[in-house]
Amino acid sequence: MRDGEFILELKDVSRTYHRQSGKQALEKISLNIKRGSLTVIIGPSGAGKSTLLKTAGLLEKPTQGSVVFKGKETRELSPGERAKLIHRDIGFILEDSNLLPYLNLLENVMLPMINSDTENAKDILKNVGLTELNKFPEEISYLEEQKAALARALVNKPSVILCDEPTGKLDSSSARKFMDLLKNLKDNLTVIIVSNNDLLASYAENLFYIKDGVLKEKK
Amino acid sequence: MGIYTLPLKNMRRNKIRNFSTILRIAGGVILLLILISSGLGINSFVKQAESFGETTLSPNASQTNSSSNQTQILTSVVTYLNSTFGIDLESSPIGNSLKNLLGTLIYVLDGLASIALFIGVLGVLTTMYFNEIERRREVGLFKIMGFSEGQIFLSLTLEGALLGLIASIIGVILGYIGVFLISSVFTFISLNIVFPPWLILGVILVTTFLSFILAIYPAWLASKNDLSVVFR
Ligand SMILES: Nc1ncnc2c1ncn2[C@@H]1O[C@H](COP(=O)(O)OP(=O)(O)OP(=O)(O)O)[C@@H](O)[C@H]1O
Ligand SMILES: [Mg+2]
Repeated sequence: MRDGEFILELKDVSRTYHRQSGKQALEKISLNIKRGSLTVIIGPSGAGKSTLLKTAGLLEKPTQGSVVFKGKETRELSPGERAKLIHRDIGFILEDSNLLPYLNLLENVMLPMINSDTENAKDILKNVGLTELNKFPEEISYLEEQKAALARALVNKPSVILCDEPTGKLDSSSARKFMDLLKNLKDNLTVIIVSNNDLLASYAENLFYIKDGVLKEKK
Repeated sequence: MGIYTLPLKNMRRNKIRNFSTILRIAGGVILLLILISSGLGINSFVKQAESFGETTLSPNASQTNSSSNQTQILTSVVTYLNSTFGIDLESSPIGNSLKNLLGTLIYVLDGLASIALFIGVLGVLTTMYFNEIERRREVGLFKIMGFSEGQIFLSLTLEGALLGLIASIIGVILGYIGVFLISSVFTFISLNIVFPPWLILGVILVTTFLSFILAIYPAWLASKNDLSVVFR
């Protein structure tokens, strides 16, 4: 594996959904993500943010162009190989925490854990500021839910965290708390956030705007 | 903890639905057990399994033969009716047709027991389809965590199998109690109660396997779900 400057490279990535009449969800997007960077991509509804994140996160293949993850071209990977890569190296945080209602916080965080280690999971939960680990999702606030989702995304020590509207359910003060936490925990992690909330732009090391599938860098 | 332990935790969810499915399957198991163990139901199955029991399990199991058990029951029922009505049914044509009727009834019960079990196990289907949106959300979550479709499929079929396993264990216990209750209430029938280990094990295995098989299609369908529920 090449240990280059960029952990993730999108090269002329386009995506067309079958049902769409000609219009592209992503139009020839090229994006190089540096190791350890925090990238924010802002765009209105329907701009292609989620499509971009799913493509960059190896969940979906682009119609055209290539996605290079850690120096490795991913087009030819089988679904199983993609899944494995995601499991080890990519953590997702979405607008909804998607915590399973019948698992407590610790169980939720340990769900994707590859090397089941309760102490390790507890440490990660502590780092995000959660200590009542026997609580169930319905007993906690949205902010705490997102913190648990962050802990769950971190549990396999991934190199990349991808966030789709991570503060969508939070009021602006909670949103700031969550973003501060993410920034503090980031360390040498690479983080990409897509959102339509301008508030998040202030956290960006690299800021982009996306509209109608076209990406533009904000200098 | 991985997703393979999830089916067990999953029992916490939809408690009422899981409970009712388990009850339905257990009901089928109970009926089946009572009929088989009292020598009434699934005749061919009993005979087959009994000869298997003779050779491998215990040599003295041969004293209980299901067909002799049947005639014994028939005779005792007729004797009971004789003494109740004070007539000799044995020698009258009614007695003979009554015997035939009871003989047919046994075969009907055969069928009923299997149908009852099957209908019980069908509950697995409704449980698996239940709350489609919640299931899709769950599958979407598994996918973004990096679980493969194969792993998701296996986890979901295990959930079906687990329902069958729990239900059949409950059914076996209740059926065991039921058999002894029945034999103590209907003392006029000299029942030869057969409750060999193969029957208990067999019923549990068959029920669990059936539930597993029935879970395959809904599980496969669910594992194919796309990510549109979790991504907006
Ligand atoms: N599964 C799909 N099938 C067909 N078209 C789709 C599908 N998913 C997205 N699209 C279309 O692709 C375009 C980009 O969608 P996408 O979900 O990436 O936008 P978004 O920026 O995430 O929007 P939002 O802020 O509402 O989440 C939209 O025009 C949308 O209608
Ligand atoms: Mg979106």
